[in-house]
Amino acid sequence: MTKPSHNIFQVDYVEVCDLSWQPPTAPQLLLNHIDCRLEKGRFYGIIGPNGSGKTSLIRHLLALKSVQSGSIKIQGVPIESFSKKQLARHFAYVAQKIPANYAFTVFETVAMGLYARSRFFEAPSLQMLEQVHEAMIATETYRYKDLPFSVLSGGEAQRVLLARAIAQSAEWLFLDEPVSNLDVSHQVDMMEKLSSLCRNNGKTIVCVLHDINLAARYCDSILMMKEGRLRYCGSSNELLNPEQLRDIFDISFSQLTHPRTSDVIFVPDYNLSTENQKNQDVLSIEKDVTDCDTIQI
Amino acid sequence: MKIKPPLLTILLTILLAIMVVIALSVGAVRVQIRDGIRILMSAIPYLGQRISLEDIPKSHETIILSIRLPRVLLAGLVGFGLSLSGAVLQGVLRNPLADPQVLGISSGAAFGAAVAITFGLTYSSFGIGGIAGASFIGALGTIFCVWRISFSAGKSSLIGILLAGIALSSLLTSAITMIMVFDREKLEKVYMWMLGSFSAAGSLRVIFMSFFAVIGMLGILPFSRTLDIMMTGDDAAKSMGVDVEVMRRWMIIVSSLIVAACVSVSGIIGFVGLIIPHVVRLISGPGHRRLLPLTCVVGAIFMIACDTIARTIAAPSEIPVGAITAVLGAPYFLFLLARSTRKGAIR
Repeated sequence: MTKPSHNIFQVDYVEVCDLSWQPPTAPQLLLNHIDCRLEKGRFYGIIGPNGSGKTSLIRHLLALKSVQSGSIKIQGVPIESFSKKQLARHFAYVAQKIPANYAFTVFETVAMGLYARSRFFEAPSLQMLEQVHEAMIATETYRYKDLPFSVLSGGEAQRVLLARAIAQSAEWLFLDEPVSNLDVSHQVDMMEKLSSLCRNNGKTIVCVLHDINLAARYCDSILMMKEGRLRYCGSSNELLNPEQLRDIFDISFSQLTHPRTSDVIFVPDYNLSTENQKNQDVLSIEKDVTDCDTIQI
Repeated sequence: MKIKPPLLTILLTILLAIMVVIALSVGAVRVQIRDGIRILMSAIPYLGQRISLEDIPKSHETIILSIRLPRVLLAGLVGFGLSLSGAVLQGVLRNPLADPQVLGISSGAAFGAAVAITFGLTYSSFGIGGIAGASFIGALGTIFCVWRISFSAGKSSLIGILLAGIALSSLLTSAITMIMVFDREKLEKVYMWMLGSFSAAGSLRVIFMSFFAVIGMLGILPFSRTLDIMMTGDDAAKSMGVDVEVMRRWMIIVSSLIVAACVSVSGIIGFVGLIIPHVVRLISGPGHRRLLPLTCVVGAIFMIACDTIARTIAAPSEIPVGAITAVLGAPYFLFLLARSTRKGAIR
């Protein structure tokens, strides 16, 4: 079976239509009828509690999972009709981890990004190697060029993987929790780099974030997920407020204003929420106890 | 000391040529190395007519060209095939312990051979006897079963295929043991076959084996960069444009074919497929574009050396070559391992 070829010059939008997914072993849908439209040139943040389907959504958008029901269309063309190589020319993925016995150097790792654009059995051209150097300079990883990837620290490794995605020269970058394992200064550094790629190089960024304040600061659009559903989708200024956050995360937030930059900051109401949690626990224990009683009788 | 890759390849090829000449000259009948070279050159078309062999006994010519040359070539090709498929399997399964035996291919071949020996299928056609044919079928049958079991979910699972291979392998090994116990007369024959030997080498086996070696090279070497990318994990490789599932199946099919061919002409020779890629990786680094060609050459050199020792050290009787590969290879590998873990080169 030959697949029709779709050589799109650039991807302007991606449409997700009624996307659902349920793995055979899961009791309920992990992605529940998702509809959204992603436009090029924007900075998207996907937020939501653990297990809300953020990673699953990203994996579907990258065609790492095949669509079970519903559809994902790139410029109106279903995602299944693109080959892996065609897709890799437009979409790059910044992976979170690397297998344990990985022994390549930093330079070799970044140069792997060229694969989608190089021909079969042909060595990369000088021009392409130039791209690799530029990507490494842009991410400040050039000085680790000849080190083995596995000796790098978390922040350095993350920057190298970003460099690889840049060398892939795809217009869309997908990142799954790019800053979750980094310290505060590396987090800000990473987000600044992504933000500059979006503003200065016209890349579209789609990333899963756990830090609401980073999302508020850097993303212009937010996708809020809960229990496999896409609950809210829109501009970050409108969506990020204590009510929506409470709805998504089930704990209450307070909105503050940064004393110097006058940015909006969200702080979870720690004490109130733990009280709330305790009450819920007590209730559920009481319920369990009553259940046991009924069984004994 | 860092040697440039092209130079290293040239050096190793020269070493291979020297190894072939030495292997041709030594043995029960000792031939001068100079004479060995001349006899070998006389067999080359056009060039051969200019070389006179008048002062060399006719028997030496026969020994070298008809008996030793096929054997040396076969040993080289099997070493080539086993180490190439070992390197590929370690790459696509992302497991440093993977080797041709782990997938059950060798046990399948041994089972086929054991059945053939017990039922007396020893007739020979096209130079590939009934035993070799049965072992080839046994190897392919086993990989097909491993395949069906581990890929039944529609997706390849790295651990699944190894577990299926190991389980099937021990099942077949115990089946062989039972065959050997019930048919004690043929016990020794089956046992010797399981230890591996090149004593049955002939020109048809050489042609058969070179056919699969060429298939292996054409089917694997062009995908070296793809193999590199597959080392970064399935999701990352897919997002960089590699169709991981298709690629992994292709690589396993091609390397199984090579191993099946190797085992059917020489019996089970352990250790080479596992160790040679690791030794070469210490010199070449992890990139498959350098690793694979070097592995092939080093595997061939190593196997020819082992076979030469196997047939000369206790001449006129022979030691199974599988025993020599382990006795020679294991200490050297352990030495390299001890040295490199200190440097942190093996992860």
